[in-house]
Amino acid sequence: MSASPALLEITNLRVSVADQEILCGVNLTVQAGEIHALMGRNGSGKSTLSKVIAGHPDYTITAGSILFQGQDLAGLAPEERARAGLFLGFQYPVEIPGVSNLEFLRVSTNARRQVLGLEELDTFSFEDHLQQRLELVQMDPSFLERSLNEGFSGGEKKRNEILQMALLEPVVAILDETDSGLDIDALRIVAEGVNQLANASNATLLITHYQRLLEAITPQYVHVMAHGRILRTGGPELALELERRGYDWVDAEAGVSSRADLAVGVSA
Amino acid sequence: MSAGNQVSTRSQWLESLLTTHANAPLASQGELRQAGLPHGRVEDWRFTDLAPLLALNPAVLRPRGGAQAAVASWPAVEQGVVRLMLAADGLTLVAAPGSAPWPAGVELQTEALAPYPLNSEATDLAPRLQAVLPGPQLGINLAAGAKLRLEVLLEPDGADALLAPRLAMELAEGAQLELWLRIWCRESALCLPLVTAHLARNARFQEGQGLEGCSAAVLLASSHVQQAPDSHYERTALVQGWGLARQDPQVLQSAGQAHTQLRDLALATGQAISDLHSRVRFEGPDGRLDQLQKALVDDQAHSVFNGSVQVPRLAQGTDAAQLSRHLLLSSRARVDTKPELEIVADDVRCSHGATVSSLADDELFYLQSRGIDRDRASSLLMRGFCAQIVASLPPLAAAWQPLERLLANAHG
Repeated sequence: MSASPALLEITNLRVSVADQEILCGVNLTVQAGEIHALMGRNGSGKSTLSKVIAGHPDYTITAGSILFQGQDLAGLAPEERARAGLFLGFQYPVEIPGVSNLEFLRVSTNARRQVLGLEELDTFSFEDHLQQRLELVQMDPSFLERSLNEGFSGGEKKRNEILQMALLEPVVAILDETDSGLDIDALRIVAEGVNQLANASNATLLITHYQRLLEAITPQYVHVMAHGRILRTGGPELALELERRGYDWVDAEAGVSSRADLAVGVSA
Repeated sequence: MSAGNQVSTRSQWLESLLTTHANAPLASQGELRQAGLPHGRVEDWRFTDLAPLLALNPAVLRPRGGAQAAVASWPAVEQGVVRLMLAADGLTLVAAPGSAPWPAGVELQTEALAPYPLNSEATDLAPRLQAVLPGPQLGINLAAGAKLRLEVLLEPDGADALLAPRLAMELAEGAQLELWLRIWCRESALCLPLVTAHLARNARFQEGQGLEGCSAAVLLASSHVQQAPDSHYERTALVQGWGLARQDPQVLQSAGQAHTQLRDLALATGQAISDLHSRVRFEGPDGRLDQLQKALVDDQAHSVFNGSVQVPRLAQGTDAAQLSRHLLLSSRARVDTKPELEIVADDVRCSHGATVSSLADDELFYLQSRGIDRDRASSLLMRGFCAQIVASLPPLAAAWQPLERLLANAHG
């Protein structure tokens, strides 16, 4: 890996929900300027990992650590992580009737700007600020006047997620199955948005099932997650191999067939 | 308190009220005595604790004049809008500063309004109490095609206020009425607003009520609206602050084929009781109802919703939708919600739903994951919960910033 600073360092992370272990010793390091893809079957723990990094209260970290720019995230509320520059693009963005999309975007943008030492934007200056980001995701401005995600199509919700990412300018963006439910045009627009936002000082972690997203956004690293752990890491060619061969061979080569194989004291 | 004591207390309370207002028509006094104050064995009042009403001393309740100091804080009157306020005697309505004159096509009823005729099944209390109590009255006839935008602002000044306003509206064919009725009882009070309306064909009545009280004030509000075919009635009420707030809006589509929209938003905090008992009856085919009731319930407050929709056999083609949504902000808050659909006709679309929930964790997490702290996220979600109802208020209400007022009270 390059000598860029590590933005995200996950070490031996074990996570439970309702006394059931979901993540069984995840190790992952993401450095500035990198794009990583995290692939795996349904239930392998990908979405859990993304939510744990974002601070979802339902999950308990039983061992290990998550460092973000060298700072341990344990004990930080979700909003503190977001303000520090962590962004989670949701697989299923929540619909919130009655909360104006525009007002939500302005409040969240200002929360991030405050940490960055930037001036708070009032309603008028925010709309100017918003305009060029709207073009990035080719989003109809009429969606700003609507309630947050309410009645949005799957593609519109994902564009709205990328719009939020563009406004918040995160240090690390985790996009959880951003490609699910997108038609070809929407996928292209979302991918172009992600590519344009990626730069040498930030990093992106794409969670996906499909190679088609990785044709539009080329990752340096592809990880395969199974049974609550990353079992294999490779370059972009690994995604192609998964497309061709499925996941079983990854399990077989790692000698793991269930989370029980990774219970405390057994895992390597 | 034993059941016997409660009966005794209710009877004594009523007698004290009648003694204090002995000049009331004897027939009305007799009807009220016979009906008595409702008790928990009456289904319509099963969940409505009258303790805040009984805590008021009926011997000292008096009509109070309008709070003159409040006038300066009111928003400017929009052009063409008639604004009425409570006069110094507390018994009449007068034009407020800046009010427009009555527009063409509006005829005021000059004689005292007769007590509203109640059938034996009526269980709402406000009309019966109104019939024996003095209060400001306004009777308006809108001629065919006439348009009226009207604000009625009632803010009694002083404690132990008795406020029993009666608004009676007759809308001829094609007439349009926009009404903003705002009541604010800052001190102990018994408030009994009664709005009645008859809508002829193609008439349109958009009614907004902003009903704000305090923990020592009691609201017993009724409305009786009768709609002819092709008429349109929208009622949106915001209720907050009262120790006891009970509303009984009743709509009769006399021959079906009309459109009714009911919206209600209540904020109940402390030990308040907020109760909405609505009744809509279709006496003909192809009527439509769109009803949404919401309440924010905090502390040890109690919210009650009973939504009666009656669709007899002759009301084929009725399309009625009713939804009740409660947001619980405290583990000790209490909700009783009951849809009451009586459907005899077989070719109808009637839906109902009820939700009682806390702020949704997934919504809070989504907002927090965008850098919004939990308190602000809660506040945004509460605003979102309320905004849908507030958006239905008539345009006249906007200048009063009803959503901001409600949310300010919600946050204590």
